Amino acid sequence: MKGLNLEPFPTKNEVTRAAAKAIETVSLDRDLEWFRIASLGEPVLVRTLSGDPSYWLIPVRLKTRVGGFVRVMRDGTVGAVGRFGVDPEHPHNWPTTVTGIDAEEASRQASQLIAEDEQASEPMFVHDGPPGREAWLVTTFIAGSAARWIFVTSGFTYERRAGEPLDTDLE
Amino acid sequence: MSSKRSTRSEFGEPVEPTAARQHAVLAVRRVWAGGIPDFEEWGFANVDTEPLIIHDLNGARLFYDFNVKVKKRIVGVVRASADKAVGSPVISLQLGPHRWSVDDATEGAMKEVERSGARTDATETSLVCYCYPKIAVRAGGANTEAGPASMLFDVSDLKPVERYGADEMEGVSSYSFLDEVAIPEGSLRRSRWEAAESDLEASRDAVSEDLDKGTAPATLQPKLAPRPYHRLIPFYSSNTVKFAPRCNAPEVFRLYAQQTNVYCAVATGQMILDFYKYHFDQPTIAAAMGTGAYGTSNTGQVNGYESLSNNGLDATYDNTAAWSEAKAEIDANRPLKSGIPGHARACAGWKRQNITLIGQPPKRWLKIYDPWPWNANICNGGAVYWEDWDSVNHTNFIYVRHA
Repeated sequence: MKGLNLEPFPTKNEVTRAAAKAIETVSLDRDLEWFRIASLGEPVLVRTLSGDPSYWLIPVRLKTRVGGFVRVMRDGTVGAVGRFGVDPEHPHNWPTTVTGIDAEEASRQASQLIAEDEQASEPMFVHDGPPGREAWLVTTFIAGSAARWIFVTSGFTYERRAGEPLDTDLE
Repeated sequence: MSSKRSTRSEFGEPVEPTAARQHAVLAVRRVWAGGIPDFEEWGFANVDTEPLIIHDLNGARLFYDFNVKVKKRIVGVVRASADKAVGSPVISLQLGPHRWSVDDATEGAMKEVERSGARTDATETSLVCYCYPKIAVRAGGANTEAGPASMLFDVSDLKPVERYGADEMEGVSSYSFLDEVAIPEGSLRRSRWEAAESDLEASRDAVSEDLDKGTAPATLQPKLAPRPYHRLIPFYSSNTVKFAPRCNAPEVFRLYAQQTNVYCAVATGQMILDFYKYHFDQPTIAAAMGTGAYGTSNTGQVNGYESLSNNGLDATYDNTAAWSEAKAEIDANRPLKSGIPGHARACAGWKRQNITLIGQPPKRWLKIYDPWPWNANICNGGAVYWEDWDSVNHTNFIYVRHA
């Protein structure tokens, strides 16, 4: 049974403040020292597969590149703070968005998998399973019924039948 | 928020080396007083008065690198800001000396300039941050046809930096940190600097002349470290897995991305097996773990660790994961697999808040090497982060130990 969550969801300003505090505390880590001169970008909302707001992802930027992130949970606490694995020594290779690719690119990649009789939804940024397993979700429809879930990440795409949750018995 | 773009005249404000050094000294004492691992010597170390000056690509001074010494031995380098527009007065604290030599890099750069056919003037060299954090030697010279010119050579490998300037494509060029990163965010960065100045003032009041002496750690430490209950407690405790516990190895554990969407346990296994010097590619590990189209079972993971090591490793599945168990593994210098619903990651560090408000539990974190986001190139994906223990549902650990 799906429960109702009546807790107010934190605002962008609130999560940005929490993220700013978090990056101060980790900047003594040798591989996160660059956080001291980094800036925070626009928070991105991460949703559950059913579309409910789940948590915020705040980009940690150096110039226009995103090398790190802060995950702020729905109760306003910082769930995780760290860096992406993309070439840590070379910021110019980092992505320009905390989602790896933007919605437009996700839509373009998903469109290559769409059959003639299928319609595709707009991409929605979700976590497939536990927090951290983030991807763009494109739902396809055939004759008005949800058919497939196509997940698009910066590396690859994968899919399964629409409505089928991640098998948590396997990892 | 104002939409007005900040300009250099508003925010570029040079910092004298003596003022920068005061921030460097405070940072040196703070990491020691806070009980940060590997910085134990920094309480009685001295900060050099003459810094190495690193310029911005626009010619202004950007950083001062101060050597931190115990007697004559360099135990580290503090990189301080030479311009308030940078925002943070101290950028980094490095253990050990620079991995490159200014003299060698300068000499090498001059030879490269000579080889290029330019007439060189040996007095015209400087260090330049051309694409943070990369440093180059800027060698001044004059080409007989083109006239005066300067060339940049990376200090680590002396490769020429050929494309620089604002009109080059982003990503392949170098750039001015001050003009393109700091100054456009001038308001924010100036407020950071002001906060740091206030902090320095407050510390000066608290510790007076002791701060720069470097000879009285017993009296200095209690003044800088948080002190509830009138006894010294570091604000955080932490530990990470180390390849070489006797050395300050900069990379203690290696992150690999998962090569497919169902290879999280496989990539985690690759990280842990690599740590123990059992090197396999992900398809081999997947075969040993019995990975299928939807992922890997925990039994398969246990079997994989043991079979790939010819039973040299013993893997134990624990479905009642507790933070203290992860801590115990890390303290024994062993990385472990951390399972959350439907996902596997490697864990190679812990951190705990020692001081909290009454009634609040202390925060606890694990250092997670997450193979997601996935990528065919295992060196180009994944994420490393400190994860609040209470923010996710921990379903299991797998401990991997020498049999």
